[in-house]
Amino acid sequence: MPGIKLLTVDNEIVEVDADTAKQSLLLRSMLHDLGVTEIDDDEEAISLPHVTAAALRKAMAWCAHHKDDPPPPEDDENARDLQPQQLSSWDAEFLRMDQSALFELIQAANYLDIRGLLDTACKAVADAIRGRSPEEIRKAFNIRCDFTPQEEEQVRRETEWCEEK
Amino acid sequence: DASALGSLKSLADRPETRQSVAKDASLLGGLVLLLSNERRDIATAAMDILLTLGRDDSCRPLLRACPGVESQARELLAKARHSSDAYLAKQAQRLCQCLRRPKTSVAAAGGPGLDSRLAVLQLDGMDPDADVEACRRALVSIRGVISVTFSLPCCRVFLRLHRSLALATVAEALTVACPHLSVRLVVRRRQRPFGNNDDDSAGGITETLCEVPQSQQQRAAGPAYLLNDSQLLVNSPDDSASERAPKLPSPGDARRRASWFARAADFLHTSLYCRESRAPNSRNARRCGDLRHNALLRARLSSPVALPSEELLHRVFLNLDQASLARCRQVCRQWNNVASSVALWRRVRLSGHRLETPLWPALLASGRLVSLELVELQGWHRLADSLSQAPCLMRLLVNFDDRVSDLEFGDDFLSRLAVCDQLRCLCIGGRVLLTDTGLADTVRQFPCLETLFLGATACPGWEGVSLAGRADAIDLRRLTERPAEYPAGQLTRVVLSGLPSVTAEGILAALRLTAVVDSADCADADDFNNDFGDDYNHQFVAVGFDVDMEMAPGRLARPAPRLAWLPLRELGIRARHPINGATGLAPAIARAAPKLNRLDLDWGRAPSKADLAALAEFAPPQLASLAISFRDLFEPSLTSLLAACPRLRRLCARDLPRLGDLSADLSGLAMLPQLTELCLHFSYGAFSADRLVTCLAGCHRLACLSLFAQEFGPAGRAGRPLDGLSRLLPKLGRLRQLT
Repeated sequence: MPGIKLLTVDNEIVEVDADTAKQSLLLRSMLHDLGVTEIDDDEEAISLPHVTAAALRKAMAWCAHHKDDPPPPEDDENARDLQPQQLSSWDAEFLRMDQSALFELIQAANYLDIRGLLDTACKAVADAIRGRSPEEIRKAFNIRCDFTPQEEEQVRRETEWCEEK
Repeated sequence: DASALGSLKSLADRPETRQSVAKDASLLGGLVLLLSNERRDIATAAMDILLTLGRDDSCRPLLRACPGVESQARELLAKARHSSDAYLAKQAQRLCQCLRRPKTSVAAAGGPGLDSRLAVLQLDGMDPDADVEACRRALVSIRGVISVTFSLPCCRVFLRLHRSLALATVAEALTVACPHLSVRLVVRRRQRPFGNNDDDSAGGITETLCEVPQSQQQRAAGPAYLLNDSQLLVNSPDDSASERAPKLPSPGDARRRASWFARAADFLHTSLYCRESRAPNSRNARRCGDLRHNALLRARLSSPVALPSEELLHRVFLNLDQASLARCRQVCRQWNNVASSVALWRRVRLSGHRLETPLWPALLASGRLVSLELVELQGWHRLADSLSQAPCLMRLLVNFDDRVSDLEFGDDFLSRLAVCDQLRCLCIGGRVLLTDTGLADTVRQFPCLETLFLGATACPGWEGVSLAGRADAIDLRRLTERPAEYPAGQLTRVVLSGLPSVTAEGILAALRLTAVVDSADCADADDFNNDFGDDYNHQFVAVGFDVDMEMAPGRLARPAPRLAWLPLRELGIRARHPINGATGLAPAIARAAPKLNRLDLDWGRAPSKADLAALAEFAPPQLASLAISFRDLFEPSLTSLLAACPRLRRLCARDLPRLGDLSADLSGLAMLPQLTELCLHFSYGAFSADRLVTCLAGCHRLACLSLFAQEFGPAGRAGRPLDGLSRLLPKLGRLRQLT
């Protein structure tokens, strides 16, 4: 199948393989609802108002690599919660980028509705959070602490039990 | 009758005439009626014809539209199954499959868990320059509109909407914003989607939603507009409704605030719809100026660095454990709000006394707890009562407080956990007074169980527990005759230790490894195989249990070869009392479990040279992990044993006498090139490191070395030789010395 053209928010036209693009539920339903069965060269680009070109390319690269993955089992959500899976080494390497790029990718995955990429990227962020102190997290994610000292103390007291051995 | 059916069948078999058969509704109806005919040949012939039609792509929709066909097919399926008519049942099942409708695209578009859908509207009369902005503003200000994409050449807009939002409402809002528009919903697939829109009228492609501009009066009842920035985020059931019942502004209001809406629209355009998020706690959020500021600020935040929306933050937090969540709560207010959500606290570890605090009911409130670890539990009644609120529980780990001396639990505790039938992992450490029947019932009660760990690791004093109260009779037959509805067990890992009331037979019976019966009960092993051979569970790959005197090694040897523990890959035998005749143990293991790759042995006394020699002779060649307790054997002879297990990766030798007597023997370590983990436990005497260094010179892959000794050689000499070790062994990452 030929490529489809996507117009990103930074006014760049990215041409992607239609089969790959169909991993995005948004694009798939859009193509389906519009009845796109064949694509001409003079076709107009589909506008994606929330996605940057870099994130789109990255997302499509992920889709291309995971094209033949079996769909995740829907009904076993509890089991996944029981034992969160580790990222595969390919994914971990793929998602090694700075935080802002990673968030752009998460936004794009959410908007394009690519469930697997969204989950994977969220795991990567969670990995960056795990094992860090609140202060380190603020630093890493550039967050200003807006607690009053009393509130901070209260939250600390409420969560005390979590660190018990 | 049969001849008419025959001619009909020949018509249906030819592709060119098949269509005409399917199009004749009365003919189809007649065929469907014939399915319930009492004569099997007629019903079968009718079924064959229907199936031929059902397999044709063009006829299938006609068949589906035929009333009663599905119910008749199902009825026939049930009937055929009842009379065990395999052919008819198979055909009926195929027909049912043909009739099943494919999933609609709408469901696919929404995706699991997303309450959104896609709609395409045709906006006739739209001026691409003048109206687009107004339309976009009108659309993004409606609650429930998630994204808006215009396709200007064909005057269309693609909307992603919340499911609860009616399309008519959207159309109405559009006509309010631009009165000259006529809005139609695109309902059918087009051949040329992005082409010119000339062919619209020809195919009847669109459906009129709202052609006539609404009168002034009707406008008052507009859609639910977003009141302000904070309202965008108010959607949470946790917020008290009275606090912020939003006042819906009329569209007139909306126009007056056009400049604000422009900001809101920009904001929406760069951010995402939040389904389950809370309002920010900012006190002045209602004031317009702040709002504007807020929207701008967030629009900026939604690009890099800060996570853009709370829904996504929630998604990230789903991957975190409780300690990380606690730290996230301390980061800032937004994170605190999101991380407090009860839905995230699904894997919990807490101390037993917290069950008495308000924390416990709060954790149970979501009803979705999947993993619970409790330490230092002081009583189980409260726990057993409240677990009925955790039906999703899949992992339960309980350690009882060993300071509470009279606390014990048995069959009644486990039977009260029955509500948690999803349990996959059950670990209980403490004084377990389970009976054989109780154990068997436990295995039965939790059909999904994969790991069962009952016993004394958390309770070092278990040896003092009375051996009284042993169950006398075990009904082996009851355990082996598995009822048909009982699913095949998933159990793959079982560790039972320190269960004074459970006998070895009871354990084996519960695991349906009922091979160990006295020869008096089962004179002929082959008979036994025939009766139960196919029923034993292949899943048991790990069994470890304590053996007392009555579990003589001879019993291990008894399982008939075919029935035996062939899949057994891990075996732990820890005897509380010295096993007599232990020389027979090693051949027995070799026979019972040739695929063993992990062996954990404690004879209950010092093994003799003959024991070790026998083990060396019969040790499974692929053994990768070996743990042996030497019980202070004066001259342990390891060389031949280590030579017999060249693939050993992990070796743990406990209760070794001091190394001085061993140096010659540990030289066998050099023959283990794959060794990565070594644990040596010296029970008395000083430890001399430099001897060890020479022994380990050949183990290049060693990554973890643990040494336990009362003291590490003369002071001053201890440090240096072990330093030399790290030079010698490049991969050594972890070195522990404990005294």
